[in-house]
Amino acid sequence: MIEWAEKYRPKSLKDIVGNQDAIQKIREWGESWKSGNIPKKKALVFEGKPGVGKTSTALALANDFGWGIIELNASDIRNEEHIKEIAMRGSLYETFSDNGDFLSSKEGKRKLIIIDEADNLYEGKGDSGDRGGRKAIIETVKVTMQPVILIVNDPYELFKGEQGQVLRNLVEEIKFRSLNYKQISSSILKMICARENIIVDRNILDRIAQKSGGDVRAAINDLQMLAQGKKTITEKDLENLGSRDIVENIYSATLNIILSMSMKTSREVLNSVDEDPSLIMQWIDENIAHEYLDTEDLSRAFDYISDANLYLGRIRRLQYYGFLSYVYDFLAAVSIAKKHKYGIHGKLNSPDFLKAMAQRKRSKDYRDIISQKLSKITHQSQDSTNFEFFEIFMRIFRNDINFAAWNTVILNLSEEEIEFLTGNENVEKILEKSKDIMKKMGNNA
Amino acid sequence: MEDVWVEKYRPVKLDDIVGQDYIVERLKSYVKEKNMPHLIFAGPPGTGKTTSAIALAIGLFGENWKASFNELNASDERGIDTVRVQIKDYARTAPSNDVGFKIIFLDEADHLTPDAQAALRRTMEKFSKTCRFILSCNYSSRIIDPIQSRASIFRFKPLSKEDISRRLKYIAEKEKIKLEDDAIEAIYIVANGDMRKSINILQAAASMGEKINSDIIYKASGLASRDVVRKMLEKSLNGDFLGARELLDKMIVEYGVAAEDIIKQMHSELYKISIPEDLLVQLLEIMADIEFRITEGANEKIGLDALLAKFSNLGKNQK
Repeated sequence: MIEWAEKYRPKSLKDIVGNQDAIQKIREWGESWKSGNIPKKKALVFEGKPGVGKTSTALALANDFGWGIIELNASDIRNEEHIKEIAMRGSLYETFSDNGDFLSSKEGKRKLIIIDEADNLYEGKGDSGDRGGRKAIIETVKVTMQPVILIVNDPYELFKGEQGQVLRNLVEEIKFRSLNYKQISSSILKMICARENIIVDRNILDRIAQKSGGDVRAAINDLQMLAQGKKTITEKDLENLGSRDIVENIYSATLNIILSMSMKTSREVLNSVDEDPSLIMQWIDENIAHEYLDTEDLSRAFDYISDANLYLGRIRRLQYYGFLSYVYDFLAAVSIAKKHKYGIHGKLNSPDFLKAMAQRKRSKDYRDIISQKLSKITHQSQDSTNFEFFEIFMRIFRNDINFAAWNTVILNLSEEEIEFLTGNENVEKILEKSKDIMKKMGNNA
Repeated sequence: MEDVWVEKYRPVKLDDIVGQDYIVERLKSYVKEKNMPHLIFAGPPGTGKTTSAIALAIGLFGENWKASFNELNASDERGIDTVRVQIKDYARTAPSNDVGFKIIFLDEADHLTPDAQAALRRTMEKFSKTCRFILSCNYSSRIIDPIQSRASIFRFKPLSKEDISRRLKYIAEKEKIKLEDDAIEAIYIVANGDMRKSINILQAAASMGEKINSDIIYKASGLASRDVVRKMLEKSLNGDFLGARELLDKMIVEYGVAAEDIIKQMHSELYKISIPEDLLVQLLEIMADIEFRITEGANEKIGLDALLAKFSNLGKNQK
């Protein structure tokens, strides 16, 4: 079966939905390579959440200009050697494309080097890690005679530290914004349904698009799943969305652990479900307090959960999977942490909270950076600013666009920092206003 | 309303500083004589220590005061190296003004380690011709004796209700916001004599609604993570795990407070609430263990949940 997300990947820049400013910039960059001049910034960094069209845009660019492609992504091992071998060599010589066509730069033919997931380079970790990967990327960008595109979800990871700053000065950043659900629904999902001869209400496409949270790939995958072997999609089908097997397994395992009074039974259930133990742990963490009402029982339960968590951490750090069975043991022990038989349980909650938290894993970094900038104007220490003023600042920033724009200028806030402060709302308005302010200041100066 | 009000309405002239008349008189005489000794500003937060230092510098050096005034925060740049290198480098160079010296304003100086303070003492003496120090702290007792004996100490008092109220009304008028009387009362209750906190709360409240009354003030005053941490702690010690966790989740998800920062604040709040000392030490033991586990564990949220569960249990048993 062909994945629709692949099948309907846009072939040309003009087919890309959304982000038209970004696309225009990219097209101009392509033109300047084509004209035979090497542009000042030889590399672009595409920044944005999953499924907003970063990779598609890179591929479409190569296709429009008839360039060859050299692609490296996280599934390759990307240490210094490897990047040098593939990207550097590719970037220096005009030779043959991957398909063996001769590419002459005199005819504007190029090889586009795409380094996907460039924020997932592990620096100096283990032998199979991407040791020195960033250094090699910097080298590549410095010497390349060919266009380079780096693709990241989180630019902070790529640009952190001294080396990151060096890299930042060498590249041009292109931000990709999430599409709104209307764009996804009416420009993409509708087109696919038409081509696949599927009859579906617009309203249903809207809901699929909404659920994707701006991730086009996820929306297309969901659509394909719903349409599997059918010619129409109904309201009823929609209910199946998201409740996949995996959740059912985890759900029943969690329920079992919480209700059972026997550790051995729970251990067997855990054996049989064979799901990610950290996910089960999160489900237990989320739901246990609604069942174990006696704080004595709850406290004991958390002793075991915390043990399981500890060994999960050690597995991750030491890459020693021998500890895994202890993780299961401690999770099963939660069953016997209770001295009462409650049997109250209602519907279990999904630990969405943890998902939300994972998405904000960089929040400490942002808080620290913003607090540091703020402390310069509040004449307070970074800690005091962080603990006593930050939320107040954040609240005013959210409530008042003028305040936000003005402080964006004085604190020199980056787009990501604004996104962090506002929870992603009004970012463009704030940026626009702050540009106006800068212009006015420039005129007065 | 664009600026941060605390800065927008920070007095720039010594005469505009409220509630510290005696201190202001003395500082004005320094300006007149174009000379001053090393100073220690001691007092609670939000009473005008930083403002006085800046106003003094403006009085002495005029328009280009920034060139002769170096503000450092001891809790950001703690340790002996800062004192040795950064402060010394600044202190030793000749002043670029006609007064003959420059000022180093060292905020939160009581956070400097005793070693760093000892090093500072020598620098203060050696370069006192070209550089005067103003050390600001909450408690002068945390400044080592040899420094105290070489400086004039000024004690800043919490501001009176009248002083705070007058200032808030002035700001409200300038910003064209409607400030009801019970709002001022509420601000004074939550912020006490802390002008900075009062103004911050006022600005947050002003961004939340048209009319500012006590309800909005209480909402705005609970925003700062320090206040949320206190509430979370109280709930958990009352045995209300779910209530405490709700606040925890809010801090982490909505405001992005880091686990280690939450623990750091819990630690300092534990000393402020009234609980028996044997309970305090048990709670600290739990906290130490959990913090250690967080450094090794896979998921820090699990650690914090476990902490709240254990606090809930201990707190409940105490009652």
